[in-house]
Amino acid sequence: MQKPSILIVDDQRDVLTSVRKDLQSLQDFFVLEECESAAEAVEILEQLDAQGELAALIVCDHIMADQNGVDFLIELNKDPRFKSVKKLLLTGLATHQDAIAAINMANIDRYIEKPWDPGDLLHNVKILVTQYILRSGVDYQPYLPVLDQDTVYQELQNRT
Amino acid sequence: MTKLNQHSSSSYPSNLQWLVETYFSDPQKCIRLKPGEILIREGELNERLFLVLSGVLMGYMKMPGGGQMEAFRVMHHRFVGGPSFFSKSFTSLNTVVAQEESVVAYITQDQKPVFDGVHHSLEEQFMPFMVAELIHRQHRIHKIGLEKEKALKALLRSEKMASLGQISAGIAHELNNAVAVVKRNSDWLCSNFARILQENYPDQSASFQMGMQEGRKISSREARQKTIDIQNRFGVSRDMAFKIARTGVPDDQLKALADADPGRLEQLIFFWEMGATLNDVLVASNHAVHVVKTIKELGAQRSERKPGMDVVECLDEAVTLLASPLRKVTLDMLMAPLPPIVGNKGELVQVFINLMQNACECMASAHTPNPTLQIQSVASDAEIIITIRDNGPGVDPRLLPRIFEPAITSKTGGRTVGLGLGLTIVERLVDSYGGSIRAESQPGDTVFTIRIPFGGDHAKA
Amino acid sequence: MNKNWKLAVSAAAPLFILFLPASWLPLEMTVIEQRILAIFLFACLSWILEPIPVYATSVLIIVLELVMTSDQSFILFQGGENDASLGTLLNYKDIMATFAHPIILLFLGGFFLAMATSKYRLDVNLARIILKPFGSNPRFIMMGLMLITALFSMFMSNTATTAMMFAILTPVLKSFDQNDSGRIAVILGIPFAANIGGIGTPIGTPPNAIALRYLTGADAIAFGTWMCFAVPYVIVMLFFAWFILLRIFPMQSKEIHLTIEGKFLTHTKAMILYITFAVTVILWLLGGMHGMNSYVVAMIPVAVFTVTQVITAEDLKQISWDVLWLVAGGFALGLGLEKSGLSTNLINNIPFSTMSPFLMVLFCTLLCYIVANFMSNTATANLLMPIVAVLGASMASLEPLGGRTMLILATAMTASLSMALPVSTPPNAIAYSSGLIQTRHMSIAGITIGLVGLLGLYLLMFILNTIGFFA
Repeated sequence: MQKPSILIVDDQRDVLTSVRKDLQSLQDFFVLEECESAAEAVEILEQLDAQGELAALIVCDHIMADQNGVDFLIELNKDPRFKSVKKLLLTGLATHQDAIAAINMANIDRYIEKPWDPGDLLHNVKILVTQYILRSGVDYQPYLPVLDQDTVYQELQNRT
Repeated sequence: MTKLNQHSSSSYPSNLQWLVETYFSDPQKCIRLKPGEILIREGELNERLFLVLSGVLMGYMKMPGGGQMEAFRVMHHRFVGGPSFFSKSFTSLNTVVAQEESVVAYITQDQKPVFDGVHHSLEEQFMPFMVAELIHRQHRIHKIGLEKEKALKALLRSEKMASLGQISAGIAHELNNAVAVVKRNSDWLCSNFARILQENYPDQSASFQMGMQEGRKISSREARQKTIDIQNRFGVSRDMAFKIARTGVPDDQLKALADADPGRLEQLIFFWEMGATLNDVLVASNHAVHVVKTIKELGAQRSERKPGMDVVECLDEAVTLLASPLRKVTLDMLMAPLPPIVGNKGELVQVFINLMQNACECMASAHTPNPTLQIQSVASDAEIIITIRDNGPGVDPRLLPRIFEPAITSKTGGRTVGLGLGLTIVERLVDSYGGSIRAESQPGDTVFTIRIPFGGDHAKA
Repeated sequence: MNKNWKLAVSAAAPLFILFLPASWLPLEMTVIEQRILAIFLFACLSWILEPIPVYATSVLIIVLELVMTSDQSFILFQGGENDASLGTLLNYKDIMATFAHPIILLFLGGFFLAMATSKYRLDVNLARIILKPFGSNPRFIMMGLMLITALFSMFMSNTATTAMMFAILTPVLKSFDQNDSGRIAVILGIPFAANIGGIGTPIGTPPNAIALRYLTGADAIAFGTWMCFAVPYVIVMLFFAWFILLRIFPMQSKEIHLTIEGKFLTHTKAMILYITFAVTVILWLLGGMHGMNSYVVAMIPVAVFTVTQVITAEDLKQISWDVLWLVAGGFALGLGLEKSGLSTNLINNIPFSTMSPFLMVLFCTLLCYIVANFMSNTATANLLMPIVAVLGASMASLEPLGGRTMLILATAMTASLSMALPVSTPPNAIAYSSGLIQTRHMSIAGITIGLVGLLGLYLLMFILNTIGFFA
């Protein structure tokens, strides 16, 4: 079974680790990659792409030292290679304009406020990786233990 | 008044002097008023036109909601009762009270006009002086209105500041309590856990201590580079290798653990993570303490201010404190010596640090080529003027008018403020010096100008 | 065992057979037969161990046959002077034609119907209507749900049916009392009904289609005929499953409310779907009367839906080509065994006829049952069906029991009875992944239903034999 990656991007190491802890239950099925900047995330995405590995999801912080999360996701959204990667924005302090840009231009899939509820974060991450797995063409069956049930039902209904 | 007199004397034969002599020189028609004595009452019958010979009288008007309002103030050779006298209503429009000991002369409504050579009627002879009197009164009312508005604004502003201060003090208090509990309890956990570990897992105690004391010092990039090496050396999964790499535990220690029992490596991650998590808690609570302090300053009472404060010295100190962000920036200091002011060094340094840090962060996040920060000090005859100028991307024009409001952060322009309170604090501090701060911005040129008066009322306060 | 090891084993064993000197083989074989045997061994190992996806194994079988055994094979494989020992080369067109075998196209037609059904929400709307008379007693609602699931899985894929039913059920499952074991009954009822329902029609599940592939000529079974005996069996089994599930997991709730939102679509495309669906099913049932066999009928919805754009080019991408190719690979394997003469060779050289016919039926069905519990039903059928077909043909003693038709049908239908484990079938996996049941729950009920189903199957075969169906 291939292990698609989930990238966690945040310039604060403690936040990075706590997100990772919250997603720990996925680690047998997904590689949890930690990145401390948008640039590092791009590097890893390039690497995964070059090796033919899958990137399922990016959990991205909003306000970061180098490049802010929304700008990074907007850039990513323009790259056809990473269009199918699901995007979740974790945000501490967001203005209206940021939210609009994130939705309109970065095409983000989820918008979660800090401080987040661990269960809520995990649930949303599961929904997104489920969508990714079921749409990416890999065999979904091995991943069933960690996928979101409702999403699985929705996606499978239309299979022949 | 003087001007009007001169004017009237050229075109009117009946000048003030003539009028006084002709109509107001009858000692029988003279009233002597003690301070506080009422000359006429609003709404009552008054058939007289008064001329003030000496002293000061005040005219009041009843307000619709009760109380009364100052309408005019008259002195030597000014008229009282003109409107009722010439409109033939003979009902007093104001209540007129003597401010000090005063003498007024008067004529009554049956006064016969004396021909002055040109005009026959009283109306014609008195007209210029009545008009002048009315203009005078109108001016005065206008001035009072303006002053009131200004006073009201100042009041509102001080109320806003006061409530912001109260709220922030309240928040700071509550947060302080919560943070104190977090800090104290995590300290307790740290020491007890360290003790238990020492007793039960002596060989893992070091990794816990390392996590606790040094925190997460290995970057994800560094860890990733070491991952494969660890994977190969200890035959662990990629996931675990990454976590081991993240701890930064030296290789020999790893080897010792792995040689003893491969399971120890997994334990190591756990204990290190425990330490690092406690470290996170401590660091986060320290950060919270700092934030609370910032909020507190926002609403704090003025710290003690002493005379003889050199603002240039404060600027130098701010530059020293910001050494690391300023390293990436060309610093251009154009310092003229400034007169000393009454002030508090901490406050002034804080103002400058806030502005400079803002500029640096803004230029750094926008990757401005040749980032330059220019600091200039000039003294005018009444104020000192400090300008802080950067060539960063500038502030979004839509946000510029609100830049000093709390919780305004603009990410698009890159000008971010730690709490969204930095500039609010700056403005509040400058304001407390009786000074002003202004922001002007366009891409490539953003200027903050601070003006602080020296030797003024505020500086003495 | 990791993936590389599985791959190594799957490749090494067939290579060993391939290069074994002819004299070492237990029976006399041509080179082509030896190659087919090697390919068969590869198929066995690869489908069981799954170092590559099952449909990839199928594709590889077809390509290996083309490259190694066809009349257009690689030049070194076409032999030289010793043509006599080479054997018959297979016709490459026949091998390639397995991709478009009539049975594959029958399935394609079924896919079109299923796709359009879910696209225009006919499935959900039908479920809503059918469920109404079942009231609010949870036991009867469960019966209704199982009947609907079984009905739909006769025409749609079992997986999609299960997913749809769970999507409808989610709110109900959440409203169930945590301690009510009835919830487990409902959760298990859906996949079990889907598995059982698949038996109902030739297109219900791939093993049925694979059985049809070996029932040709005089043994051929029409669509309607299949349903005549399969549907009653399905109904009986459904009631039994319903009964036993509620026995093992008694329902405590007195009332549940299942609300399904929606209304029937009435726009032109939806109407085209309704009519086409009805006409196709009727034509399938009336197989003998209009001259068109079920394969030809299956092409009608394909044409109607593409012409009217009920199914668009984008929808076409949703077709599970992997399922079709998985079946095609099995067909190619069967073709290889037959056309190379290996089947006949085995029949002539192995003394099957001396074995007890009863034991043989028992052995085949139990083997199929056990294997299918652990691997893909389709792959199981792909592997077993050619062998079973050979066995059935070679055993004269089997004739009184119904002959090879009986053996093939029994084995194929057994595949659908395997539902003991979450890995047994995709519907089981979906139900298990709800996290609300445990493997032991599924195993207890699944094994009971499977074994009783087998007994029922023997009874069905006995009845069919008695009324002269196999004669």
